[in-house]
Amino acid sequence: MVLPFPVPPVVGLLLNGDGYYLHWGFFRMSLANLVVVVLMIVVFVAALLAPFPHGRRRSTPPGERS
Amino acid sequence: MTATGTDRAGAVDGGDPVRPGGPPTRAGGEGGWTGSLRARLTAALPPERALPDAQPAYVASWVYLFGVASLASLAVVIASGVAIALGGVRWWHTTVVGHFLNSVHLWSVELFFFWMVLHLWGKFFMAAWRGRRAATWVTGAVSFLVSVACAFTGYLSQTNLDAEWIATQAKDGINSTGAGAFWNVLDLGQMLVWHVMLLPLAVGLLVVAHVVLVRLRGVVPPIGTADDGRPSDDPAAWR
Amino acid sequence: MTSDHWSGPTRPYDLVKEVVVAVVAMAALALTLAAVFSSPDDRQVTIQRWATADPAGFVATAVTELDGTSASAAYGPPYNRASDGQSIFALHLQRWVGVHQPVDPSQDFVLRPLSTVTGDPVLTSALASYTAAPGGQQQRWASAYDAAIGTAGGDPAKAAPGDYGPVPTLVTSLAGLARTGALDSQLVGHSAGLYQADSTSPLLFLADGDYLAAQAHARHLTGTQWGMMNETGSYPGQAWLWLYTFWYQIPPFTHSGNADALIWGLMMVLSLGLVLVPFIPGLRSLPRLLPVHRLVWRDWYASHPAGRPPRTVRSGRG
Repeated sequence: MVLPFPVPPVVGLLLNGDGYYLHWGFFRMSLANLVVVVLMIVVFVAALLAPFPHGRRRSTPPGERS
Repeated sequence: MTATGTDRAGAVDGGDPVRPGGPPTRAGGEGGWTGSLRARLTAALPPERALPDAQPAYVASWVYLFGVASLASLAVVIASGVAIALGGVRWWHTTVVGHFLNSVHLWSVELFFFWMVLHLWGKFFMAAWRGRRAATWVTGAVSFLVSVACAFTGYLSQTNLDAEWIATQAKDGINSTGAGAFWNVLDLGQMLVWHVMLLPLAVGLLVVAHVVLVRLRGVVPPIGTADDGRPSDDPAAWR
Repeated sequence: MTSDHWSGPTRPYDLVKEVVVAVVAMAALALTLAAVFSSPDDRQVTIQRWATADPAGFVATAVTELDGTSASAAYGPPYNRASDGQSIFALHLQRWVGVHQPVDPSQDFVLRPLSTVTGDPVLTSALASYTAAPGGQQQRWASAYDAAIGTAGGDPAKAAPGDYGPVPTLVTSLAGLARTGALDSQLVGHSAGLYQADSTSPLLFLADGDYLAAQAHARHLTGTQWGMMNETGSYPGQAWLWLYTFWYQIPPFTHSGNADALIWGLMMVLSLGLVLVPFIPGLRSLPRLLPVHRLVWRDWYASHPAGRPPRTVRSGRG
């Protein structure tokens, strides 16, 4: 596989033919998949906890239904 | 012309005048099927509701961004898929541009599933099916399952070792259901057209239905809250 | 105006801007990931590559195609009637649907391709001798050679002398044909002619041998390696298939001949459950019992406390 530009060393590590795999008893998972799953959990928790910016609040005038 | 299409100024044919500045109308009647459909669509989803410029005040969490992130990723998936299709089945193996587009397609699919699963988690914890929104949940869940099938046919269409292994393994599961007699995962020709045409069409239609339902029903209120923002003891507001 | 029947307080919202920003952001992210990490593309395994890298394994597999013991030959529907296939208890779906992708491995993978070879009188004579023999004799020759190869540790070159008829000549010639590359296109094209798109025959033949499986095992793609979730190399794969592959790792599925059918049935039921969550008592009540929603709407609840759940909900009815 040839890329048209120089790549950082981490890419060489990632592009090698042998992945990294972790074992817990009979359960096996690739490091890449584990990173994705952990990232999903981190992003979800962060979305729950991070404060959300509040802009102007517009109230619906009485009698007007959206 | 009103939303019900009852304002008539005469037919276009037969020499009747067209209402100045407006579309042609028919004398009498309701405008036939066209007028009837227009009336129903504009009554159900007028432009102000299809493209609203305000949202309920409770829509104030980053969790609400997972849905639009999923849609945006899907747009990139489709665009990169179209770009790959320009070159045919095998060009991505032999050209740098083709391989780069394949990479964009792969990573946008990873992003699509990433955001879609987070969106599913969020909507589950919000019990987003409340208030006549069960169809919204159903179309979303079915979209997820059909997306998995679409991704599967994509893996089968790679024409490389990964595709060979996936096909020869997956055939056993699919054959065991009897479906393998008609849906042959070893047949590149069939799997490719399912991936490029049929399943994206299905995903697209489901996603459109899902988004239209969100616009029709609106974003679900917080648990225990009625449609006017007051506390509610109506079961529909709780589960 | 909002899009629903909400009559409570609202806030301004630019929907189109949000969609545009999201598309630009996801496109930038996908382009960056593609540029930095690229994507895997492990070269396809061909019949030619297999016969060249593992000639002994290739010949041994070709013998099993002749004696009917290969996975393809013994598969059953949709390829043939050699077995009934799998079932989900009393549901024999595989057998009921029947044969719709007919494959005869001894003919399609071995004899028909060999019949196209010209200028080889030894092969032509062996082929004529084999096809003229009664079916029982063909079976005895092939089975005997298969057993001899097994006794020799899978190496046909070390098989003890015996009455194998023309079988050794046939499979050795097939290996030679495979190493030229001709067998790959012959297996695809025999029914399609010039336009070839159906890879059923060569893939079945490849899967009958051990070479493809060995390549997959080296890349952590096999079932016991939870390979269904994996991509080649170090790339993220399909983590969303974790539950599907999980069942294959535990009893009773690990030792069941109907594992594929049973697990498909189970996954269909679970998928239906996912789709029908709003209608499943207990499951649909989980969100209000879990505190996650209170985090999502904490700002709203701070100024607009929720009501009290009605008795029908508190008692768990519905």
